[in-house]
Amino acid sequence: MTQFITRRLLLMLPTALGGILLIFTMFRVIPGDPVLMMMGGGEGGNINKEMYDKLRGEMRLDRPVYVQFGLWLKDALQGNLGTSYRTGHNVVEEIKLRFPTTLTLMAMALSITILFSIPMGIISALKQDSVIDYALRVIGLSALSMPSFWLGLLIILLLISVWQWFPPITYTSPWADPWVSLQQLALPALVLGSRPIGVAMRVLRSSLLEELRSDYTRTAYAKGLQQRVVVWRHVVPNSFLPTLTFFGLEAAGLIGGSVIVESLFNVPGIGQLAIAALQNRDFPITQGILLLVLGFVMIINLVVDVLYGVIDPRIRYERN
Amino acid sequence: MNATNTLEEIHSLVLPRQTVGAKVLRFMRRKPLGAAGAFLLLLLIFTAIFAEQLTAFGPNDTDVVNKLKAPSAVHYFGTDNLGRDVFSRVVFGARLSLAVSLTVSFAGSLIGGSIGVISAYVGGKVDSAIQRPFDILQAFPLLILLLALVSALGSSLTTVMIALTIGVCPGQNRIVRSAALAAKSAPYVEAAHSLGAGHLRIMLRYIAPNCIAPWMVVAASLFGGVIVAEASLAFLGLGIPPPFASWGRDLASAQPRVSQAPWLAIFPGVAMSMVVFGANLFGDAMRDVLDPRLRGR
Repeated sequence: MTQFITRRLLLMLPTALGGILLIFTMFRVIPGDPVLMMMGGGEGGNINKEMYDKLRGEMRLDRPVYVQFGLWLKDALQGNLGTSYRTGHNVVEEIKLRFPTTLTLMAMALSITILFSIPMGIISALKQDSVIDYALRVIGLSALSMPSFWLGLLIILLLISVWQWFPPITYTSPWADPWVSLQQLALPALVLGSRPIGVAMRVLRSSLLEELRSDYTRTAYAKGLQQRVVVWRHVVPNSFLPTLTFFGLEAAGLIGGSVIVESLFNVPGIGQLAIAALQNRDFPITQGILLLVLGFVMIINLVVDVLYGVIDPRIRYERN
Repeated sequence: MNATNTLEEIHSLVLPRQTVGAKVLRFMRRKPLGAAGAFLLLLLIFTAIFAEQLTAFGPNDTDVVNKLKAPSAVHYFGTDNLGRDVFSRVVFGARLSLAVSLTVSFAGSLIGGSIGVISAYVGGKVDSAIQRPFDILQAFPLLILLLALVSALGSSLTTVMIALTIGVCPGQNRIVRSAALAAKSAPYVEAAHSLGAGHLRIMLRYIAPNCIAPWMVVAASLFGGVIVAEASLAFLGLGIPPPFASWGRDLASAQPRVSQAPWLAIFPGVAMSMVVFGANLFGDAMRDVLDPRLRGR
């Protein structure tokens, strides 16, 4: 197993390095002078030449690009990603402050997804072409088709008009009071989870249908097993493998969705920080968040790969 | 019937000739949900083409006296905070959504698909060199990638379309590449080689046609996704800027006024959800019809 995990990690290395290189270059080929942006001055304004040169030196923009990359990477590995152009705050500190909230939000959304999609998928497949199946499929497809910002707006509208409820102005940090934080994040998490519910339910359904038609299922029925046993002991475990891939993909996608949900519900997480940074072209913060996202996605991929190996020994021993 | 029947005549006797109309009818009977999806998409196309004829007001005509008016016989969907007609904005928003999504799904699919075919056909180091950058792009969630690209490039109609196209390429590339890999080792490709067919001819005439079915399935499923992606960017303030009417941007500006003027949020949202729902229904039906593994389900 250790060998399997090591191999997976090594396979990830080139992608991770490429991603880091992409994050670094993306904000160095763009038009506009970052020094001017940092000084907050427009072009042609009264810019002190001395200060300009000093700042340029501090930002290492007078060095060759590969030196810049090397130094940047060295700093990044030491946990130093610079300071925000806009607020002057330390990037790593800003991210640390906000990530727990986003992580809680995503964990809740994923739990909601699992809680709803698995029973929906199983019922839908077992009752194929019945009224229940059609209803569940339409619900799944609707969840998939409703953009999260629209669903979120509808929910807010409904709550405002029925219960005079408004999204909270301030959120409690999960560290300060976990219970209150969970309550406050429940609605955003439901909105964030709506799309994954639709996706996972459909994948699970079609994967179950495939297994239900397989030879071993017929054998299981033929030897007189009850449906309950056939489904839970044979069909469901086998159909989990393709579904797992989708849970991994969707979990990684949640961090993208959280940008929208956080801005909609005013949740002070990574997504809100990201959108402020992107709109203001605050590149140090953007880079920091992109690095975090890259790391997060890589970890999820690794977890999914390892779970594959745990569930299916064939994958663990492949090409040893 | 005499003995001099031509082959065609025999065919027409044995096999019922299928006109386009008959094919459409058959599709509608077999896939009623898919037909409903196609109907919604046709409605979108109709609205987008005849936007001027359908609306009495321009999407950007302001009328401050009549701002934030509820839906009425004059303003079917009400007016927004600048007195613009919401119905006109929804209709013209349909035009933008359709134009962007059609262009991006097609261009992205074409570029991604072509790269996939070439990558699979040439193979070896070239294949790895082509696939690694796509892996890297796919390591980022789509929306994050799009936001970063648009933020770096600056938001305009062109940059948003470029970003979206870059965003959809990797998925299409991956699907087509695996189909092309399967086709590459087929005996008829070997036969074409032996007959002296050139590389380009083999790729275009023998491999590409075998990738069309999965290509179309992915392209169809992209359509709804691109509409949502464009609207998401606009909702977050990094989408296509005015004068274009965008559903996402209108929803964003509806958000702070949602309790006093709910129609601002409801109509663009309903329009977008219906179109995406239709696109997904149609995409599902396409997959059922084109993917032989799923036939008979």
